[in-house]
Amino acid sequence: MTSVVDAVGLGRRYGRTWALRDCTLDLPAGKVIGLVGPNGAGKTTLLHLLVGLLRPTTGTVTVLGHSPGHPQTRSRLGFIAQDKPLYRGFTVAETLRMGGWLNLGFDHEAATLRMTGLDIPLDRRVGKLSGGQYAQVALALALGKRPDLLVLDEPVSNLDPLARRDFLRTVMEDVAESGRTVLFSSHLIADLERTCDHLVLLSASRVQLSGDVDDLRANHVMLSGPSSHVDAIAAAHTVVQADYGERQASLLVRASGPIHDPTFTVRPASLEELVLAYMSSPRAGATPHLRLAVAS
Amino acid sequence: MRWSIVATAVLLVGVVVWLVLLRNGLTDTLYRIGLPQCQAAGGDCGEQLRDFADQYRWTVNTFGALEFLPVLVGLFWGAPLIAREVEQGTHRLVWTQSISPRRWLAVKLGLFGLAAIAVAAVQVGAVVWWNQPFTGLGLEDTSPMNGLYHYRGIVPFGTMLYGLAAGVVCGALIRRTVPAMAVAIPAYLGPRVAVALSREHLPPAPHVLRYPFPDGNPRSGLGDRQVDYQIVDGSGNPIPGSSLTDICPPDEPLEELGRGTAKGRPDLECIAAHGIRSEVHYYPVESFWPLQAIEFGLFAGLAALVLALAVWWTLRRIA
Repeated sequence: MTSVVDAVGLGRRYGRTWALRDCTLDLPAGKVIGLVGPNGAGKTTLLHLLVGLLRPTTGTVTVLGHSPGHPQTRSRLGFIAQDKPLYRGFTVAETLRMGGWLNLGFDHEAATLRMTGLDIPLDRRVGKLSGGQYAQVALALALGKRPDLLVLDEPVSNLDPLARRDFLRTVMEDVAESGRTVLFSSHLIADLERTCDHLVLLSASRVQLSGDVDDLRANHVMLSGPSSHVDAIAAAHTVVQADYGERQASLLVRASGPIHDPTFTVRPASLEELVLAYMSSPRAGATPHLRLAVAS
Repeated sequence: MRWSIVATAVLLVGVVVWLVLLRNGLTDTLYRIGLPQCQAAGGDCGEQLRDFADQYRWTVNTFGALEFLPVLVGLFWGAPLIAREVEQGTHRLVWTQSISPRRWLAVKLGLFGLAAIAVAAVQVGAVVWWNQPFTGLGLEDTSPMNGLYHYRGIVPFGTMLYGLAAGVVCGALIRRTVPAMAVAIPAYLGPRVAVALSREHLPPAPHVLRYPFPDGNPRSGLGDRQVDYQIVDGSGNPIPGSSLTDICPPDEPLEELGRGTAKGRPDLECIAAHGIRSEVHYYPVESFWPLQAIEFGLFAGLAALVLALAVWWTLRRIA
C-alpha cells in the first residue's frame, strides 16, 4: 500500500499552546479519508501543515513523496481552505483562468464543462453566486489541477443540506472516475459515514484513531449488560467508553476477539457511535498497547 | 484591483489636466507681466523678473499636492497587497497552487512596482513639460534645483516605490487593510520629511562661495539652490548682521528705514578693511543629478529593505 501522507511526530505550537502534537500518521493512497475531531482539535492545523501553509514546529512529514511546499507536491495537490476563499470580484470564467495561470497542467476545458454542466453562469461574479454554486466553483478550481491528492477543510460545513449533498456527490463522482485520494475534515459524522474509506480522529491536539472504516466497524461493538461484569469484559477487550446505569452498563468496546459473556447483548457500533465514544474519552487510544482506564 | 487601476488612471488624468491649466494660466501671466518682451528688447527687466518670480513661486507651492501620489499608491496599492489577501483568506487559495508563495509575491510586487514606476514617469514627464516655458528666464526659482526639484528627475521614482513599499509592509505586519492604510501615511511621510529636512547634512556637501559684502551674489541667475547665507569676518567666522554697525559705525548720520527702525549703512571702506564677506552655501545646477541619485538611492534602498521585511514576515510560517 502506498501512502500519500507520512507524518512522524508532527507538531505545531503557537506561542506556548500546541495546536497539534506528536502526530504520526500514514494515510493510504486511493482512499477517501475523513478527518474528524471536535472544534479546536487541530484539524485545520494538520491540514495546513500537509498543504504547506504552515511549517511544523516538530517532526517531519512527506506528502506525495516530498515535503509540503516542494514543487512536485504543490502541483499534485489540490486544496480548498475553510470557508473556500475565492476572489469574490472575479467572474467564474476569470477564476478558472486564474487557475490556468497558477497551475501548469490546469484542465481549463474540464473545469469549464463542469460549470456549464451545473448551470453556473461563467460571466457571473463569484461573490454573487449561491452558496452551493460558490462551493462548486471552488471545487472546480481545485480539481482543475487534476491533483493526486485533494484536501478539503470543512468543505460542507456552511452549506445547506441540498448543496452539501451535491458537493459530496461531485467529489465522489470525481473519485470514482479518477481514483484520486481525498482527505477532508468535517465535524459532521453523517457526511463521513456515507463517503469515507478511512477515518482519522483528532482530539485534544493528538491523533486518537486512524484506520480503515471497515476495520473499525468490524472491531468495535456496542455491549449492554450487567455493570458487575464490566471488569471481566475490560480484562479481555478494550473498553472505549462506558455508561453506567443502576445495574446495567452500555459499553463501546474494541473487541480483541469474540465476546463470550452471554449476559451481554452485542450489536455492531455505527461509525457515529464509535467516533462519539472516542471523542468523549480523549484518553482512549486505538493503539493496541494502550490499555484503558476509562470506567472509573 | 480593476477598481484601483481605473481610479489611478482617472487621478493621473486629473493631475495632467490640472498641470495643463496651470501652465496656460502662468504663461499668460508671463506675457502680461512682459518679461519675455522686456528680455527681447534687452533692457533691465529686474522688476518684471521679481513680479513673475512671485507668481511662479505662488503657483509652484501648490505642487506639494503631488505628494499625494506616493501616499495614494501606498494606501490603495500597497496596504491591501498582502493585507486584503489575508483578510479575505485568499492567501490560502493562491499559496496552495503550483507556483510557490514566494513567486506569487514576487510577481504581485513586481507588477505593482512597475505600475508605481509608470505613475512616477507620468508625473515627472508632466512636471518637466510644465516647467519648459519658464526655464531660461534667468530666474532662480524655475531652476530644476528649486521649486520642482522633488517632482522631477529620478527622486519621484524612489518616493513612489517607497510609498508602495511602506503600504505593503504596513499591510504585511498589521494584516488588516484599513488600519494598515492609516499607518502607511506616517510610514511614508516620516522618511520623506526627514530626508527633505536633513538634505544639506547628507552628501554631497554644498559648495561654499565668499564674496565682498554687500555686493550681490555673483552667481545670481545661474539657477543655484541656496541652502545657507551668512556674513563672515576676516577670519571666516560668522557674525550677525546686526553687529556690522558696531564694527564699522556708519559714516553718515543714522537714517530712518521703515517702521521707525533706526539703521545706518555701515562704513563700506571699514567693512572692506575688516575683510567682511558674504558666504553662501549652494548647490549649482550641475549638482542636480548627484543629489537626485543620492535621494533616489535612499528611498529605493529603504523600499527594498521594508519589502524584504514584508516578504520575510509574510512567508515565515510557510513551509
